[in-house]
Amino acid sequence: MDLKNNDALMELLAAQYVLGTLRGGARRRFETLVRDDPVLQEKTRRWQAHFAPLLELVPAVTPPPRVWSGIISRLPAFAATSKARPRLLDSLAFWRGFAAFASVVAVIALGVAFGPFSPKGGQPAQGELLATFSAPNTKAPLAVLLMPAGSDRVMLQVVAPDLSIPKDKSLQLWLVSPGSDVMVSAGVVPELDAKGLAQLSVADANALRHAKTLGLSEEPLGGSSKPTHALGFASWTDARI
Amino acid sequence: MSPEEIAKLSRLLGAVALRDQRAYRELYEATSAKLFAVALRILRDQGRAEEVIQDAFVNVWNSAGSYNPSLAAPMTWLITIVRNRSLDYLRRLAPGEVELDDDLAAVLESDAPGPQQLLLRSEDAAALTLCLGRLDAGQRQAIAFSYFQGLSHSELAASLRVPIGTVKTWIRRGLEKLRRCLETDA
Repeated sequence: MDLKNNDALMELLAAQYVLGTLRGGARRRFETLVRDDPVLQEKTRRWQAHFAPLLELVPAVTPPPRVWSGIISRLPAFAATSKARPRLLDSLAFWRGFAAFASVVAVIALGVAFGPFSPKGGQPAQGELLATFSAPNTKAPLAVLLMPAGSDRVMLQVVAPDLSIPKDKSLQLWLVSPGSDVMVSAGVVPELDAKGLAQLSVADANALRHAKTLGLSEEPLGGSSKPTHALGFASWTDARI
Repeated sequence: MSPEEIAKLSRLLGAVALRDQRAYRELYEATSAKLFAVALRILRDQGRAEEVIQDAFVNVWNSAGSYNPSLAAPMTWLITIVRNRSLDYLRRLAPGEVELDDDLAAVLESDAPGPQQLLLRSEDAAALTLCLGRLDAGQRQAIAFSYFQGLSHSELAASLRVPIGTVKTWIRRGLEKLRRCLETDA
């Protein structure tokens, strides 16, 4: 049969290809034919467009964050970018000096092993404090917050290579005080620099210092009064352990 | 989908073709919930759907340059990628692992639109629902089953419990009717 001159047959083949009923050898032959045949391409495209609304009607379901991490872990271009971003240890070295390396590594290891809500032996509220935010489901470290002794300035270093903040969003810090279960804002994080680093002054350094839980969220630019898109949680550890 | 949304997705796909990682993230945020729902709808398994979405997005990163806005709306292009990958996945599974969805026909029936619902849907979706509604029940069921699950004629015959000749006729006549309905109304 001459396919080229049989419009009805071409139509049916294109429709059945899109529908899925064209199978096996016939499906493969169609795929070869369609490559060089603009008429067949057009018919196939039209059937795809006809049927697509059937799937567009399906109610949306947000995939878990690990799907995104899985995607970029398979794309070498993204790995190159995350290597280009200075590692956590480098920026902390800049900030705190070489002696801090070992403790930071230990703290991150602790944070990963025990998760954000691990019980700590008393609140290490006096000295230099460090908290590692991790994603609730994957436990992957997202960012590290450092609060020097006697200061109301804190430093946030994003460590997750896949955490990028859109231009119209802000990161915001939250705290839960002991005896409370309400997240209150500790401050809106200014735009991160090229190294994923930001410093901010907090409104209530004392409340932040004594917080039992810290939160990090992504909010509309300039922050929100309540967290809307939580990224991760953490609690303080003494940076000098 | 509004013209603004279509323009936004086209722009993002263009930027992704130029290796813009921020645009890629934005594209993911704008479309992944819809696409994940499509994969879930076809595969009905969270783990499989996650795997398919990852494959599809890796594919989008690598082939965004082949997207041609004059051929398909961006969401149609993305849905086609996800659907094809989901169906490939289903076909790779042993037949015993594919659970047939007896509710599908019911879903479609319940989709038979009132005027209110039609207003809420995109023009294309409304036209399709309307035209599917004009098919005989068997035709509609056979077409919906194969579209969502990529079933062959013989698999359709087995799951709908009718002879294979009947299935072939339903599909062929159903598709012809659908095309006439969609293309004359459009």
